[in-house]
Amino acid sequence: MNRLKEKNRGLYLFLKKIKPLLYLAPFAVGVIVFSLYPIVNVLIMSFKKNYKYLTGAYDGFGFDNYIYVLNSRDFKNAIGVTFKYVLVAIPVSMCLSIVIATLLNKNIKLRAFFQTAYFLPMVTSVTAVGLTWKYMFNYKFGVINWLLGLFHVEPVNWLQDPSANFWALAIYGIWSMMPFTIILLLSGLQNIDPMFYTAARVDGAKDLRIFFRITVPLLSPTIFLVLIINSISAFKVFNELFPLFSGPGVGKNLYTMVYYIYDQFRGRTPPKYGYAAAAAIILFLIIFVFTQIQQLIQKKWKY
Amino acid sequence: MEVRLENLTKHFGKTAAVENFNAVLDSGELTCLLGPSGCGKSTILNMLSGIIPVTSGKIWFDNRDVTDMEPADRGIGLVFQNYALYPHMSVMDNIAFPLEIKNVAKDERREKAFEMAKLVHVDNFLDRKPGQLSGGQQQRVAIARALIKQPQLLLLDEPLSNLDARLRIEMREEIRRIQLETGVTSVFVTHDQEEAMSISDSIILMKLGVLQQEAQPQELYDEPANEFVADFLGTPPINKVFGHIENGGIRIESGPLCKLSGLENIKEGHKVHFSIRAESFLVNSSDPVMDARVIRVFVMGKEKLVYLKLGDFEVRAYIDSDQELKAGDRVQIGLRRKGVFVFDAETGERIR
Repeated sequence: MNRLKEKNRGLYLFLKKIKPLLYLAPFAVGVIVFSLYPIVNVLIMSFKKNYKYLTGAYDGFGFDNYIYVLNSRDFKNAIGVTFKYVLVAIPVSMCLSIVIATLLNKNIKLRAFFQTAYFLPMVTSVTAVGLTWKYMFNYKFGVINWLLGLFHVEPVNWLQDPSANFWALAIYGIWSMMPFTIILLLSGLQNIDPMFYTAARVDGAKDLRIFFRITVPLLSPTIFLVLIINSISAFKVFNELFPLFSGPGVGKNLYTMVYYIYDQFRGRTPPKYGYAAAAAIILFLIIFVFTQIQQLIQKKWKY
Repeated sequence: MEVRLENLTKHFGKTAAVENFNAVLDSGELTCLLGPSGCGKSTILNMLSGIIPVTSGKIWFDNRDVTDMEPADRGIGLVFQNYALYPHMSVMDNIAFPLEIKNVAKDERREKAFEMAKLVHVDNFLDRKPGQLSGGQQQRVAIARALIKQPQLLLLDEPLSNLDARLRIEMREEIRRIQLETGVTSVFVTHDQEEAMSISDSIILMKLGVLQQEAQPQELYDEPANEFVADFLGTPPINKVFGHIENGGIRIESGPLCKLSGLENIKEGHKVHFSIRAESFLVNSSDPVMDARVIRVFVMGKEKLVYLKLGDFEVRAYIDSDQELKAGDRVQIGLRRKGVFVFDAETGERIR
């Protein structure tokens, strides 16, 4: 390089300039090929009329796909199911996780055991666990109905009854959301200086007041982070449907937004890629708006 | 409120943090717990607040035995080294929080908090969050929060150590003012002897969990009970030379014999440590007790600091700025009555 510096100054300066870009290249190429290109492509695809994937033929650009999707009864239904799922699963999993994380943060006996137990869902296969839940939800032989029976509650047909299967989905979803939530909350809790608790305790504060007046506010940055991560994943609820119901519930009563997207190119002949793309963009916008609202609330809360 | 500590002992596992500690803190006074780090002063403070339980011994608040009482029931206010202000609450809410815990009505606690804020001069910042205040202001808020319940005892755990030098002096005067205004019995933990000297009514000096001396600041300086106390106090540190008793005086090792009264009953040859404060030398005295050679002279404005060679040892002495001395001079040394101590070389006990 030094000899080059003296012989050909122009070339040397050029190499010096692109050197950092070469370091960046491997990662940048990956992002461009596997993230950026598909995203842009989906956006373009959503505006192509009558797009044929195999031939690449289409009849110009327009909002036709969006108009179709937004008028589709299935899609409206999917929005409803998805929102219901988000609004049930997020608050419930959050509240349970905060309580469990707070307890795990204390010096309790068997703490290591409980930590492992709560993090287990994270390291097990979704499908294997889902099938286990399917057996637990079984109408006749499932452990959940057996437990309910101990309290003289009528057995619930969790998987086949259209009025009950949403709750089976929600319970399973909440359960699988919790480990990661607990890990993040636990790390947030460990960042709170114990002297705040000492100060409050010296002034006579009891556990409940310390929890609501000190722990929760000081944990709020982590809580909001987790809320956003969990909302994004909850809006995309889809995987959970297969092990439990092998499809969108009874009929289409658990037809979620991602299932709608999937159905447009998997369930129809010829596949409707344009509709799928438009639905995906709509889902993106919904998630975007939702997380922006959360960020606004967080700013108001921030200390 | 008078605080009495009786045979107070604290062991952490096998290590003794505080050993058989006895002291009385007078009502309405500010007492400093002073000592190097690891001497157990914070441990005593935490036992007074009830944050850590005692191993044995008793703590009395007037006639109340509080040894096994919960911190909240003791009627104390605590100021932490790092302030421990709740970052998500405003200054107002921080100060009022102890009353909020007691379910005092909102108007009343805001009124009280405002009063406290005025006392510590933070009434202009009530709506701010602690993160928007300087260290000194945060410390004021912490003091207000500790005082709002009108505690019988105010405990301050190294409250100035996170401040810069100038603020430290300002805040220690402020703490003293607030303490005198409220008249609350206070305990102040510090490792800074100057801080302790300037602020307290009484100082308890500790070393390795054992009380060394409890006295008023001037008395502690003028009449140290043992060598550790003499060494710990004073800037510059007290001069120390080693020697032994000879003919009722002290023979400084490889140096002069220093004629000194009050050593007549000590047996010949007894090893001693001879401690002299820098201001207690009289250089070119008409009543000399020994002679020495000047090594260096530093001009300091209102006085001069000279380094003298005494046998194997170098000592620092203050002299008047109009005294002309230069390196190499031989001088006759006299000693003042104050600030000259002789300690047993082995036990550190004061002999004279």
